[in-house]
Amino acid sequence: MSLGVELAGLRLKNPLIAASGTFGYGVEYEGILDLSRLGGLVSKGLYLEPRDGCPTPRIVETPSGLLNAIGLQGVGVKAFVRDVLPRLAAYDTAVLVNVCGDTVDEYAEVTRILDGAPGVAGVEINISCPNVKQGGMAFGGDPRMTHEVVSAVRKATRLPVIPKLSPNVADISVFARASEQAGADALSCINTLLGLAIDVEARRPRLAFGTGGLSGPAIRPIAVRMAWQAARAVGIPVIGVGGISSARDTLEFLIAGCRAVQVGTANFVDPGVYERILAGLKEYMQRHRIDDINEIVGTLDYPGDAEGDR
Amino acid sequence: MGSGSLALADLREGELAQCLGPLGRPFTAPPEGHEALLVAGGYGIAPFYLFSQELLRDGRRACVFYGGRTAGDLQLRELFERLAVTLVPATEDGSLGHAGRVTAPLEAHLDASQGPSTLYACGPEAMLHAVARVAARRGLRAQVSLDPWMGCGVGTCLGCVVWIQRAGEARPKYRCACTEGPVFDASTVVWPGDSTSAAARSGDAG
Repeated sequence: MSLGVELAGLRLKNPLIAASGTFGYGVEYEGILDLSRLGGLVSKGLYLEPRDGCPTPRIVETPSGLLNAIGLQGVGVKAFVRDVLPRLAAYDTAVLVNVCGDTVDEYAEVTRILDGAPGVAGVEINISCPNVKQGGMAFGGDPRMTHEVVSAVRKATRLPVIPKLSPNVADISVFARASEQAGADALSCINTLLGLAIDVEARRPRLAFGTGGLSGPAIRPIAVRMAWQAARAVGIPVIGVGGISSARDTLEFLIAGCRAVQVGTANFVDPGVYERILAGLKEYMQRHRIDDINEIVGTLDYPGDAEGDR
Repeated sequence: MGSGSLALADLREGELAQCLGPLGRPFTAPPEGHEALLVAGGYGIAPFYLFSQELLRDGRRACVFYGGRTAGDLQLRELFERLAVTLVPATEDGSLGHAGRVTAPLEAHLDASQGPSTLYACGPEAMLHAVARVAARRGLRAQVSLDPWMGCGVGTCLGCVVWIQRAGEARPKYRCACTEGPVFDASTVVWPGDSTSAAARSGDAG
């Protein structure tokens, strides 16, 4: 039975990747779980320089979800390359780095630094963080800006380039195509949905930043729909992200056309979630007599889709 | 009570719950010869039961100041009455012990005390801040247990950060309460509302 997947020139031993912002720099989980069991991991978003991020409170629970406004607190790409990458080299997993910038030039500069660093398997372009005033979703909410950022990152590296798309748009397929045309190797779909939770006693937002990004099971049907739309719009592989906490959730994204998935908020509930998902995937494959997980990808029987229509 | 505490309270005998721990940094014993003064507000009493037992086992002296709004808030006082520690209750409505804030009997104790003391505090932020001010005024060390919302417990979500400025640092740094705390040296905490913390918070909200 084979769980291995290939995408964007990467070979992953299984389709499970830890999602950016929910897994720190990976090394925080040393001693808690075996990072080599993961298909890959995506680092917390990194700028050129360290960032303080948003004021507190930064997280709040909502029904089946988590609303956050962390604001991309981070050590900066140079400290990551110097201090973290050597430690991650001990693990047999694909290390993807989430790249941020206030400007197009900063995205390119961060990418250039990573391009020369040993142990980086690829870069995920963060054009979808809703919790920063510049960059982030401002780039991911305008197809021309998306094209510009992805092109600049593309020119800065030969590593696989994977834009992470925002769900806070009317038609994600426009952004998927803009990314593909700009030279992206794959897409991560989706980032968090913009939300607002209000403390009715104080009549203030419950997050210090105001609005936040919603994640967790609450967003999964939206994420499946948008990943499915993106996968139909482009020829490059799509990595599904959004509310995954079980094998069944993973399978939804694979059947919808995703080549791999990222697990995010579920890490906070159970850092051992990967073992449960892997066991569940194997059980499903046995039951359906599937030898290779790739056989499942894009097998959705959607009403109205004629054979060979795509 | 929050949903997590309720879920724990709903467990029946023999049921299993998954647990990740121990996490973070705990209270640490006072220097030799110091009396440990433990200041608790409401649910903040929880860590001090085991900590008191540990202190007593090591032959240390401990005194617990237990504050709440009313007598009903001081739920665990019977447990402490079985230990060889002094328990000083304080209630804001005067229904039990000292009438008023818990820091008043703490200050009275410090005024009367001959030897050196180390302060420990767990409870609402305003109380922790008040204990930190008492410590600063008297030149004492205090350890405070901060309680921001935590998402992951292992330093990855960055949800529970607090401004901490350690000796020699030019400016405060956001540090995770889950891994570098929840117990911090009170003199390193930049408290909300302090002038220094206002400057720090306007720093880089990006």
